[in-house]
Amino acid sequence: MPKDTVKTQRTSMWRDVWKRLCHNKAAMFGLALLCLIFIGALLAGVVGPEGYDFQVLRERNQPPSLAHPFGTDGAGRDLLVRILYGARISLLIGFSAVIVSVSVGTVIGAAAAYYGDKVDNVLMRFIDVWMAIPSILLSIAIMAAFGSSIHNLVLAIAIGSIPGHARVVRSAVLSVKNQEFIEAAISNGASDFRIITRYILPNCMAPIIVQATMSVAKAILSASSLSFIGLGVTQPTPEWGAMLSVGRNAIRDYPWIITFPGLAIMMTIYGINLFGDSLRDAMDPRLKH
Amino acid sequence: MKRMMSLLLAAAMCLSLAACGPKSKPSGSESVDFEQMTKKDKLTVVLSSEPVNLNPQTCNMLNGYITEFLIYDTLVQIDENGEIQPNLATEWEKIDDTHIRFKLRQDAYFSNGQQMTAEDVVYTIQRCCTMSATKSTYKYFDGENTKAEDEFTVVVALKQPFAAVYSFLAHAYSSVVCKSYIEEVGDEQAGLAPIGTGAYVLDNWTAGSSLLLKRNDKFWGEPGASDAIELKIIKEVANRAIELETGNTDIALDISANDASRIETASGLKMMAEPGYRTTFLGLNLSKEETANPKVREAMACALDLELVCEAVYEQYGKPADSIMAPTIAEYANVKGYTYDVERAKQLLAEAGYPNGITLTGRCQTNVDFKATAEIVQNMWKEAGINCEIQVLDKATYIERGKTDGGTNVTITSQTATTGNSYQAIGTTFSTASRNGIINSSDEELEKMISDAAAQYDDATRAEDYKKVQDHIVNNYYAIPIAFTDILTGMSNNVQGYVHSPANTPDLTYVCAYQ
Amino acid sequence: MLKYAAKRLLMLIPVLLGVTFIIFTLLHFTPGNPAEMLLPDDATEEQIIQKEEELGLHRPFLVQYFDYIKNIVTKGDFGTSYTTGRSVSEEIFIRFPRTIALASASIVVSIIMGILCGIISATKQYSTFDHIAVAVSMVGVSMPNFWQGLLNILIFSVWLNILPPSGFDHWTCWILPAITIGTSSSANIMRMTRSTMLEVVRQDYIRTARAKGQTENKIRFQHALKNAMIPIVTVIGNSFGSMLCGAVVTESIFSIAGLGMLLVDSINVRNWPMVQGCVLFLALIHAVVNLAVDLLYAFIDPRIKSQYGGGKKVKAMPKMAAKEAA
Repeated sequence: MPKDTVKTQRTSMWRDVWKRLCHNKAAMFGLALLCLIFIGALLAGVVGPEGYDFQVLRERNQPPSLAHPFGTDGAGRDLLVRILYGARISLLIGFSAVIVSVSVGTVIGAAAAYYGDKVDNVLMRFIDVWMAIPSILLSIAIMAAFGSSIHNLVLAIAIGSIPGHARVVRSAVLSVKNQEFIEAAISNGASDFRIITRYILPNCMAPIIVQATMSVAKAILSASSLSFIGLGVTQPTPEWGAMLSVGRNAIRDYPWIITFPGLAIMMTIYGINLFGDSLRDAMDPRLKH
Repeated sequence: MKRMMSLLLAAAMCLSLAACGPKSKPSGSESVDFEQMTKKDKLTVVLSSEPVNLNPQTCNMLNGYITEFLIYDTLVQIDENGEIQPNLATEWEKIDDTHIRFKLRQDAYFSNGQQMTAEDVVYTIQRCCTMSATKSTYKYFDGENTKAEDEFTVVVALKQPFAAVYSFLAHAYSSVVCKSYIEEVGDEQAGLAPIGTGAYVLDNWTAGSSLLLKRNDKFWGEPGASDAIELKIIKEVANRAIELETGNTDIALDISANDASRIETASGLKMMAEPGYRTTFLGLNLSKEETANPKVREAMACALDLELVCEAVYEQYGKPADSIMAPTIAEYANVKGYTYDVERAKQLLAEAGYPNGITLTGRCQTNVDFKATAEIVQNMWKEAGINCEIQVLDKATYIERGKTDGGTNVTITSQTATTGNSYQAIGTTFSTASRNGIINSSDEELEKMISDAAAQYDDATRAEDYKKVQDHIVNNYYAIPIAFTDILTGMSNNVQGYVHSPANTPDLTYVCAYQ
Repeated sequence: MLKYAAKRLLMLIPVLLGVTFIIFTLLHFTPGNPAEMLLPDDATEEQIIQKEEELGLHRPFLVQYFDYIKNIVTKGDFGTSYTTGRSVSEEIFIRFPRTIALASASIVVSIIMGILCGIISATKQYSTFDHIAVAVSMVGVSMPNFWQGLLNILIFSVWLNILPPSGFDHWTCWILPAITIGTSSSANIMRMTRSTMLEVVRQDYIRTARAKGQTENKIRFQHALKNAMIPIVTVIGNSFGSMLCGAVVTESIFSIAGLGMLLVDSINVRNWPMVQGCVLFLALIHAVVNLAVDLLYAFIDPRIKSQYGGGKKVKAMPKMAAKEAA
């Protein structure tokens, strides 16, 4: 029977959270921004059917106009089109990096907390070493070692943020682990895997989801920082940070080349942060009613 | 305060959208009367990178050469017209094709007080021939048989006739070092606290930031024009221009084309945009299946509208190249035998057996103009049915990959003859010994042409020889020349005595700035 | 307390050993040969081998690693920079003051802006100022550092021409980078200050203090802020730590030759001893800053101080307390 109770408890919790989010203007604004960017990313192919590296060399460095709402860059490419295609890349990097790091972090954190003792000790000392290297430095080193590409960028960012997730999961699991329904499951003879995936993790989703949401923003930011210093994705891939990096030489004469990619990054992060913040409030039991 | 910030930023964004062009300023080419003005105590020059050390035989960076020219002297100098001029050597005579006798001046002293003698010169040349950084460059020099005949006479020996010998002796690598000093303190210390016979001495070196040089009062020649020279290191190209425009520096080297056109019209500033020794080109790999086919190579060459490429990448500061050597080099010849013709390119591809287009690979280093060239070239080729994916790699990875995987079909690269002689202008890329993944040539005929030309002392015959070399490379499409680029140096109108250097290693000894 | 600090420092040793091993391995598999980077483009195989031997790169991987560790332990020698020939520690100590100066200037900017705005926002909750401050702080967090740096240069150096765009030899040079880095962390500090102040202000003892007729300012700064300080200090400490390590991008925009720039430049030329030295040093600094933050709690909160004396679970406590409050 524990399965059903857990399930109903869960669904009602999500409904509550959603209801609370709907009443929160900031959350809705953030969500709207995110939707806008998603739609933009989807429509990239419609707005720029020729692709992101279609160039008209005679129309280089054009200021914003009707034909090119965001202007053109140094190779005569439409900036709006590139930014929309860039949204695909940034969102892809942000979400896949978080999916990778949350999954690995969850496995490590849950194992450490559930088995405790030696396993916990070994895993956590390992995490300590991992965390001792500041994540940006680790990402830089990994990018240098593996070379610049989108896959490696995702990997570099994910690896840098795994230990953080592992710690959050571990403390969340620890708080659930000793509750009665877990003991009940154990006495029913459920396997460790089943207990962790069926009973423990669903009950500590709140902190994991909040942390994951915020990490998407961080991942997008690190990806563009790395591209900016030339270690992430390189041209002609329209990664926003890489676009800024190329545009900075033209900062004086053609400021729109750095204005719009920057605005795009900011809008995305802003949307995610607003939504994530509200989500945290909505999920915090202490702030209920 | 926070709100203020945000308002300012918001305002800035609006401004950047609205006011989208440089403000036009009155022309800045007014002539300056230096007689009336007071000289500044210190000349400030902005460089794009920091010399790793100032040991002439271990540092291979242009900005290291600039500094070394101030601190050290070479045996001879090459003047603006390419003529050889005396420096530490007062006169010289060719004994035979492989031996040259140099008479040294007797009034040159190192800044530690020791007199410069033939022994130091021999030591220097022997170092050039043995140090790991310079060894291959000096492969024609015979260090062991280079001897001091007396205290102030040196006979420089060569392993085989070599026309560029004087250019090499004028190179920063050949800066004469103090034998006893280096033997006493070791290479590393000597690289950080250099001792030379030059017009300036290193006074202070703030790592990562600047080098301060003071005039050497015991210099044998005409004393330097400024009391002190500060070399500031600023890696961001846009910031170098800003430093100049805000008056924080007198001279800024390596300005970008964007900034150059603005500085030209700024009041109080001037741009020196003069042709250099550099040629950018696309190397076509002869060891790869697709580019081994001359028809494919020709198609690639014909499909490029170089006028447009140059304009987009270098604005008015680069000209479409018609040879692999820059026109600033004595033996340059216009050899290009093809023109831009997309239709012909398509036809050639079909003849070569690729009627539906071809897919190629490419590579370049993370260099602003290479990257820009890559993007544009890729697009132009697409029109002719050539799909080329160009990877951008950092220098270290680029070198390693080129050697280990045999390179890609195309490599965007450039060649700079730091001494302006043809031997360096052709470089080693086209040699059969070179396996760096750019050309990977196995053309013995070309190899022989290059070595014959290098050994030829007679000017007219050598020019003829090098013309053949250029013709062979360009019209067999081993390389597609892209652009001859200008060297862009910005400076204040109050700078006197600056002489353009096509190698981008200006001699700052007789340059000064006024208030 | 001293004992606790010493214990934490001792625990660093295995962690740092692990760090060196990870970095060493990573660098070993990074493409690019340091010897080739030091030689001209036309270098021959023979030259490369000669240079590799000069640098000691011909030795097997593990031998290189153990020699490296041995030199650190026995001689305190972190190796020699391949390019300049200076010792790694010398080079780091030339650069580190610049990074510290930048981080300090930035943290001052962010503390002043963050705490002030946070307090005002909290005491005037739901006022116009509060709304704007919250919204703006969110923008501050969302704005990428490098973009803000570029905009700052554009506005203050190019258009207004009041501040230098690069360098670090004059105090005015620090203003733009400090604002650039300071903004995002000040936004974090502001948000943290606001939320903890709001929580604290609702507690009973504040009501008691008010009932006793304390002035509003005294309540705000003496009673409320002091108790709200722990999570704020955590945020400040974390920000300072990440400023020291993460200034790579800002340093490159403003041409400040600090540790971050040294690290990236060293990676580009495959100057391995320098890269290892920088990462090791930054990891150490990161850990020391974390320790300092933990110790600082004790000064702020006597409850925690008392725990350092006895209890077994000493290590986990301060952080837990901070998290609880957050």
